[in-house]
Amino acid sequence: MIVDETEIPALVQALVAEIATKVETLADHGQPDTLDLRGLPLLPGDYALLKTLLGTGEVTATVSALGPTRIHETLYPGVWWVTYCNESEEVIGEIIEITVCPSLLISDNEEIRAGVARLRDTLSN
Amino acid sequence: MTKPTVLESLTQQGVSRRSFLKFCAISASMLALPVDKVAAALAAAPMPSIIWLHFQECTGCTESLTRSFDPTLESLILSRVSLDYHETLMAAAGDQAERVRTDAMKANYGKYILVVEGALPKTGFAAKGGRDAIAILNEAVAGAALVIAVGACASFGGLPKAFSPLPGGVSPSGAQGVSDLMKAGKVPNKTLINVPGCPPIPEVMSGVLVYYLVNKKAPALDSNLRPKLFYGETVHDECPREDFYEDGQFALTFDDEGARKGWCLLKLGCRGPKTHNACTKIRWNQGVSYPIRSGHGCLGCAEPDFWNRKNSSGAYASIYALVSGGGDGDCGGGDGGGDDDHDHD
Amino acid sequence: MATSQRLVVDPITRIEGHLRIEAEMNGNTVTKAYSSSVMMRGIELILKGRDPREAWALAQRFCGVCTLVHGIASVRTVEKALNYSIPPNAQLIRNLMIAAQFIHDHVMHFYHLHALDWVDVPAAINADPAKTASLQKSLSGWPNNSTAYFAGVQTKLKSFVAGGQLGIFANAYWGHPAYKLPPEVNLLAFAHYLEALSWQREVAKLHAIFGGKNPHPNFLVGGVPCAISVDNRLANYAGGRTAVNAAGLTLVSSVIQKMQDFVNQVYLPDTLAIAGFYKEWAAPYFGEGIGNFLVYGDFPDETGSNYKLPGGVILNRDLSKVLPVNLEAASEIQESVAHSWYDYSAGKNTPLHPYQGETTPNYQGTGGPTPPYDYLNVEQSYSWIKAPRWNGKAAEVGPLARVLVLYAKGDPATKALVDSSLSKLGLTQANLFSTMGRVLARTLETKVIADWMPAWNAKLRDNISHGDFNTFNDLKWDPKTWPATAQGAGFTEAPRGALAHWIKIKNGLIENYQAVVPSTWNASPRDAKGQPGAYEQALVGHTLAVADQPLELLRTIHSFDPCIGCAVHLVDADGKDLLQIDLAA
Repeated sequence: MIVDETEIPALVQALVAEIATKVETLADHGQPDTLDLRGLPLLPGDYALLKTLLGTGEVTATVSALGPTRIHETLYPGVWWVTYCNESEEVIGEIIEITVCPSLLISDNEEIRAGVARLRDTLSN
Repeated sequence: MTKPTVLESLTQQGVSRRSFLKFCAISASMLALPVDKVAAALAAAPMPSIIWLHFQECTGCTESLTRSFDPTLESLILSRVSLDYHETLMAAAGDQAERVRTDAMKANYGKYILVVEGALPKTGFAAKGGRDAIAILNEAVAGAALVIAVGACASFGGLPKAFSPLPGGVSPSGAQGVSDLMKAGKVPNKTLINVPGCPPIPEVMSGVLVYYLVNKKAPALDSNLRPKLFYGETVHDECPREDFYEDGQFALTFDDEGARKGWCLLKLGCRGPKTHNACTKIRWNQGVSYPIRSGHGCLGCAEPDFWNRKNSSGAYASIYALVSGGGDGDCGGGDGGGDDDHDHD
Repeated sequence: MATSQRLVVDPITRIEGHLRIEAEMNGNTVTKAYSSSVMMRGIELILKGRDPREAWALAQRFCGVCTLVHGIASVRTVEKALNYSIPPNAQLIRNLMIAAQFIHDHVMHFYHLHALDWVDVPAAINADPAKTASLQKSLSGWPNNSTAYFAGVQTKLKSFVAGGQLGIFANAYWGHPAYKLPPEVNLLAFAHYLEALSWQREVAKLHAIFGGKNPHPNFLVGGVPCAISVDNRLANYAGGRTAVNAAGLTLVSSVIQKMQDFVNQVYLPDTLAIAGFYKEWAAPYFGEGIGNFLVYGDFPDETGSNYKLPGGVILNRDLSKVLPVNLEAASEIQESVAHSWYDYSAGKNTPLHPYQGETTPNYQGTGGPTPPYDYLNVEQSYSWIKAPRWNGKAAEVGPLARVLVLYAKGDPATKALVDSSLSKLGLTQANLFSTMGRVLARTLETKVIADWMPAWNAKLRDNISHGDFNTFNDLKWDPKTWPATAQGAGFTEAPRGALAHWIKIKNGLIENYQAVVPSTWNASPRDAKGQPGAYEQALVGHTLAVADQPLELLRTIHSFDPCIGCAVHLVDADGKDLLQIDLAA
């Protein structure tokens, strides 16, 4: 989507610049980071603009844990938009993760081991 | 019996690692802490014990906590904390309830978190189970690792401490907050966090609890013992109507064109510039609204003695003092300071 | 009777405020009961000399569980005194807020304050989740009805119990012989206890839209403070800065739907299901000892004089006669302090109408024991609660009173609902006069009131779409427009019962302010004639199956939904004589 630069409010510009810097740090040093949207004084219009600017890329995922968490990679690889919802579908947190893969998508080692035990159990039943 | 850690307790109930991480991410966001620090701390922290005592209160703070959605009360009850004594919710009554309290205090002596809701009157005028309120509080503070005073009443005395503005008006019950009692030596000195508001925002109450679980100490506090994390800014600082204030656009009655356009409510008595709270930042009821957004000015309920505001000549000023008569427009700005209003009559 | 034979239950938990019950026993059966509140604040005194327009803000803090009710009563009281009318939209918004409070409060009361008396929570561990799922499906179309869902709830409960960290469920009466529910009903009820905790946050949002926050939303003498900003041309200004706009009104509509769904598909079926196992608690007059019922009425129409929920008094359980109530009449409503820790200048045994109300605490001089104490001196004064009476008679207020008056006045929806519910349970009208009758009445009135909300909501939206945005009448806002003296009584029906405030205004300030609140009626001690209050009379005849476990008493006390912070409102710490303050000119 092409947006005329003169239309973008200063706050949104600053956020995009910050994201860009963090992505560079990820690329150069493998260092992940986050940007918490909750703490920011974004008016509804700014928020929508930021979301549209960043867009949606190749990956969309829903994690069902204490309610759904909706994750999508934006048009910019390494920039992930994470929306936490509770069991009543209310948005309770929104974070932009700058990372190779958001933490919620990764399987935990202990759970992997516990899962293997259950898997073997199904064989014996 | 050693208590399980918070993570162990969650895992035992079939709560997945991802759920745990989600909770940590949300708490971390609320508390401005790094996610991995929150996760690591909660994974290792033993389930704490909470003793919640009610005194001269209206139970609004407890009610407010049930409106919290992160973390949710049902999850607090069942997993993250052990709410060992809470009269509004607990199943046992009478002697059985008292047993719960004394057993929990004994088993967790020196380690439990004491939450106090409500003010305390002068000795002899509030009792429970035949015992005087201050005696009960005294005993409870002695064994606490941390004391959290929730609400205006426990923090500063609140409404029971208020008095008639007529000559000779005094608090009818001699009510005081927990910090008053500590200063007077009536209860032992312990680490105290004030979480004022009438009532406080629920996520602020639960956020303070989580902060303590993660860091094992209180967050940075201001001179009124309020966490700067939540009370560091004024309601005015983060108010979406602030640009109207800057432009001098004020509602002059409650339903004029300005009111309908969402203009600044300063001239209708809004105490936002002098009130430190997170109402315009975190907002109320899952962010749905807050007093100013719904058309009424801030009452200043996180500040001490907000029920007895004075004008600049030291006389009683009503909540709506800025409405009647003319005003010179110079009504606000600045934060901290005393609770003087400008005289507009 | 020797005091050593009195049973004491203090604190009564799962209520609002601080209540103590002492009961004289014959073996394990109650022969006499005494209801006492032992904590107070003094709000009526704090109000003296203040701007009447701010009274609602202080009065509302009588209680945070029944938040809103005193705010409403207060603004109505001031408006009555000043003959100050409010715009139709304000009336509709207030009605929606009051109704939302009813639904929120009653559902929370049933699940979080009362249910643990009837539901043996740990016993749910033995339930069969599949059977529970079938049970749920047979009760209603509520979507949380799968075996997996109930198994999940059961797992949560199992590990909680196994871990030994019982928290609020510790040291209670689990396994008591009076618990009668099959394990599946226990599991079902417990699942709904949890669901109701998250559902109630939704209901609170209606208050947040119109009142800024819940608990303790904001009110306004002369209307409501939430200006309406649905003018589309103002959308850019309004976004994020106002609440009653298109998005806010949409939220209100969806909250109303959620409320009705929960009441119809969860609360009502659960009540009937549970009541079916406890029919002995619906035995006529068991848990209902006075037989007199008082309602002021509420939900005014746009004229402000016709009430959707009618008021009236029923005496001696006679539904053929509903008598009118007059809050202004000097001899109708009076408060006695014969057994309360106060003095009156005309003597303790002379009751007073609230306009003449006095608040002169006297704890030690009237028999108040010095803590620590084991027993109250029940032959003297024993409570901070005064004893209100209607024409000298004790009365019960609350859901049972309201449902009886609605029924007696022939309200079709109420009649149909009561008759069908009684029929489903195999009960008759006489069974309404009981503990379980009161529980049932609470549920039924919740449905009746919830079903009124869509019409008010539609009318509000209709007014707005026709260009009526008025929410506040500023004609009498300025105290300079008021007469030198004024007095008035304002009322509402709080979830717990009939509530009224009386105000006297002099030279623009409050000269006197009195509140007689529902739990004052219900939790009242004896009056000068020795007539017990509603709780006291209701407990007579209750037998404890286990001598030191007061479960049976809790069931009946909780059926009244006590709110004691409301019931007691004043004190002077030194017990000094507090003269009526004379505002010399």
